[in-house]
Formats: sequence, structure tokens, C-alpha cells
Amino acid sequence: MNVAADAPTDGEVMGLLIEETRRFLAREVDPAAIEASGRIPDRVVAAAASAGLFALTIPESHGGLGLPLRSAGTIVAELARVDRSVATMVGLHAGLGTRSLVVHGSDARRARWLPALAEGERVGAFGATEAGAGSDLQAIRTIARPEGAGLRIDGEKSYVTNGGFAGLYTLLVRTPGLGGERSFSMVCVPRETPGLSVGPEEDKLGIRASSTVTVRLDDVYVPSDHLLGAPGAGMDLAHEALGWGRVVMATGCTGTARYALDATLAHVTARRQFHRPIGDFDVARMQVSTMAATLFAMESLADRAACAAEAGGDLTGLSAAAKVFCSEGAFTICDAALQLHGAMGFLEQTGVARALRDCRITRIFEGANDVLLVHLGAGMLIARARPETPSSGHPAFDEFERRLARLVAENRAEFGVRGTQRQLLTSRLARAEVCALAARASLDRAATEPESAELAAFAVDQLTREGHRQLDALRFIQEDERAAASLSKRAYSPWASGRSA
Amino acid sequence: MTTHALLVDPPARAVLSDDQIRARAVHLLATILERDPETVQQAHSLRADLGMDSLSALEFLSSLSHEFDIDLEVEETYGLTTLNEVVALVTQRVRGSL
Repeated sequence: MNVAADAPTDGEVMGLLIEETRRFLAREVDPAAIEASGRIPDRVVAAAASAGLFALTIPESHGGLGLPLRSAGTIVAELARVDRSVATMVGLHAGLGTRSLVVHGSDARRARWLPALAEGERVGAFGATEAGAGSDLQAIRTIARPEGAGLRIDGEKSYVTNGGFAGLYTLLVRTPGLGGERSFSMVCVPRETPGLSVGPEEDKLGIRASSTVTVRLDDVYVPSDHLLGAPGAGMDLAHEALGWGRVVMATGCTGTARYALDATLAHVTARRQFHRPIGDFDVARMQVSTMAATLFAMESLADRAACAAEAGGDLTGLSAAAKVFCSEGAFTICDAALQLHGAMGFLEQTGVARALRDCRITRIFEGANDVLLVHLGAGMLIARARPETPSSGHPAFDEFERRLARLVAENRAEFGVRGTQRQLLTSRLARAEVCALAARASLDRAATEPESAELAAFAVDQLTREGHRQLDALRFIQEDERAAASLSKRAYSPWASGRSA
Repeated sequence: MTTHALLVDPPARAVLSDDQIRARAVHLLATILERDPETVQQAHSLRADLGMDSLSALEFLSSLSHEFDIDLEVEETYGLTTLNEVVALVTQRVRGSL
């Protein structure tokens, strides 16, 4: 028997899976009802499991589909077009919830847990954030101390997505007994472990049916092989997993944005005012074109990041750029969609209002955009050499990229290491860089998709203009820093006076 | 991390001994890491022993620039791995810039 001929190709698997996903959405998922109930019903979780949605990135050797991140992202985007809570459940499971176990788990633990995770019998959750440790992960207090042949864990993790019903928690904890006082490690804790308890569901602005809870660990004991990777390597593993997770989130944002754009196109071509469809007015045309171009750039950049994730290597900068660009793009597109729907958009029946509130969190979780931009910009200032980028065939964009490279070099020479601590400098450079990356990804995609050339060219024009705006603003950094320091000091004084130590 | 109580007046730099520079660097690092200066050793690796990532290392180097009023260029910070190496660089720059 010719096995190779019988085995479905990746493309065929994806085709079937997309069909299966759409069937699941059509049959099982009523986003308004799910949102109103405040949780994803058990039967929806079970149907998602039957459709293979928990198996996406789990290796085939362990009962999963072994899909590349890019394909998993396609499915998450498909889910997000209909229900962002369901997409978040699946995306978190495929990303942060299982990634570190897949890559760094011991053979025995992978064999034990991965098949159950692929089946959806256990859903994955991830916990790094704590009440006192948000963007500042170094402030984590949850601690695991070596004891006998295992670890004793105490602490509390906040905002744990999927936490209410998860079967396996991957946690970033301090492990001062394993490689120095400041060492962190990643550890898996199964739900049934004595001492692990889950708080009530948080009431949220958006993705209201997604599970978000606090997870407490009181005197929890797990065997040493629940550790992932090398003891003390937790911070590196967490950054690696976050890089992966941010790509999944970026692709999810493209799905939400696609929904909002489609709803808008249906509306502006049907709704008539002043004897013509409102979509025929120049202002509406410009808004719709900008939405479409932004979405094109979002998809291009998310896809580039997904391909880079598959290729291996350091994903930090690219995944952060994709996450920032796609989360902001989705929010802007949903906001424009709501505006173009007029008062109708403010009502629940169009679904656009839900899309708007559902995507708001993506600018915050898995790394607040503001912090990611500051870090991205600091990275640009200390990078060893800015790679020469080949001409794009788009002269205005090439000129912008040269200006960006020149300004990075100038600021680096002028401020040295100190420049990395100037947040207005780093975040403005980073915003320009995000524009450059999105434009470059759009141009490269258009090269293989001739029918998209016009849309890509418009996207690149818009991104080039925005990039220049960010670079123009570099001139005002000193005065902005001074003004902000003085004004905030005044504004804070009545609030901070009673609190100073 | 914006308060640097130890800010050195330029004329005072001339009389700083190596030990004083070292002590100030350790104090600064301990403040950033919120730990007891007594527990910081010269041979400590910034990453493995002190748990610093590239961002907290940048914060430390930048604070040293402020503290001693020296310009640390990006290139000269490549390859620094231990506190000793950082202190040696800073000492050299403090002496060199007088």
C-alpha cells in the first residue's frame, strides 16, 4: 500500500478542518446567547473538542493534529469571526496553555497529558500574572520550593484565562532553590492537585463568556517532573511561550476585524440616505478602504510572524509588533464599523458592539501594548546592526525605511545606553518600526497575490504616512517629557500626598 | 527607578576610589533588584546569579550613566556578563572622562 498517496496533504487537512470549524460554529455557537450566559456552555466545549479544535498544535505522536502555528492561527481567526470568547478559549489552549509542555515537557508527562489536552478532556491554562506582577514579571511572588522529590508551591495567579474549567495549569513561579535567589521556573499543575483552588469568574467588559479566574495554590505539592525545561529557565520559557501566544492572538484579531469589515460592507451597500447607499459617499469610501487596507496589513504581518515562529529563532520583536499592530488594528476597525453603522451600531442586534468590546482586551493581555512598544524600541536602540533592507519597489516606503534607520542610528549615537530608558523615544521609534514591518509584510504578500496589489499599495501608503508621523514626533520628545513630568506632578499631588512612604 | 540619592557631583568624581565606585554600583544594582547589597557579589553573573534580563540590565547600565555622569555607548556594553565587568567599564570611563 502506498501510504504517502493515501495520507491527506496539509492543504487537505486544513480544508477539512475549516469546513468542520464552520459547521461547529453554525450548529453550536450563538454568540449573543453565549455572551448573555456569561460562560461557554459545556456542550459547546464538547462540540469544539469533537471538531478537533483542542488538537490543533498538539503533535500527531500524542493524538493531536500537529498543525503549524500558521494553520492553527487560521482556525482561531475563523472562530473569532463568530465568537471571540470561543476563539480565546481555543487560542489560549493552542498557545500559552500547551506550548511549553509540547516543547519542554518530559517524555512521560507529554505522554500522560498531551493526548488528554488534544481530546479537550483537559483544557490548557497559563498563569504568570499576579496581583502585584502584571507587566513586571520579575515581581512574581508565587514560589515553588524543592522538597523531597518534588516542589511545594504557594501563591496566587490572577486573570487566568480558561482557568475556571482548565485541566492543566502551566505556571511561571519563583524557584529560589533551583539556580539562584532570582530564579524562575515553569511548572505544570493538574487541576485535581490538592491545594489548587479556583476563584469566582470575573465580570468583564468583553469576551464575557471567556473564563477568567484567580487560581490559588496553598501548599500544593507536585513531583519534580512537572517542571518544564531546565530548572531556573522559566523566564526564557515564558517569553518563548508569550511570543508564540501573541501570534495566535494577532491572528484572532484578524478574524474579529474581518467580521466587522464584512458587517460594514453589508450595511453601507444596503443602507440608503440622501437617495443613495451611504457607502457611495467619499467619507465612507475612505473609511471602508482604510479598514480593508488595515486588515490586509494585519493579516500579512500576523502571517509573517506565524511563519517566523515555525522557522524557529527569536520571535520576540516580530510577535510583539504583530500583537500590537493587530490588536490596535482590530479595535480601530471595529470602532469604524460601529461608526458606519450609525446609531444601529450602538444597539446589540448588529453584533458590532460586541466585536468592539471583545477585542478591547487584546491591547492589554499577553503584554500590554504600551510596554511591548517601549521594549521593542529599546531593542532597536541596542540591536547590533540594523539589517539592510532590499528595495521594496515602492520609493516612498524605501525613503521612510531609510529615515527610520538613520534616526535609530542618530539617537543611539547621541544618547547611548541612556536612550533605552527614554520611553517617549523608544515607543515612537517602535511605532514607526511596526508600520515598517506591516508595510513590508503587505508588499511581500502582494508580490504573490497580484489581485491584492492595489489594496497593498494603499496600505503601504497609509503605513508610510503614519510611520513618518511617529518619526516627526521624535523632534518634540524633550519638550513632551518636560511638559508631561510637570503636568503629571501637579495632577498627582492631591492623590499621592496621603500615600507617600 | 528614577531616584538616585547618590548622584555624584562632577568635581567629586576625581576623588572617587575604585572601591567607592564599586560600592556605588552595587548599591544602585541592589536598589534596582530590591535586594540587600550584602548579597550582591562582584563575580555574580548579571543573568544567572542576579536574574537580570536584557531590559533590567539596560536599566542598570543607564542608571550608572546617570550616577557617574558618563556616556556609555551601546557598543561597549556588548558582552558584559558579570558585575565585575560592568564595574571595570564604569571605572575606566570615570577615569577617562576626567
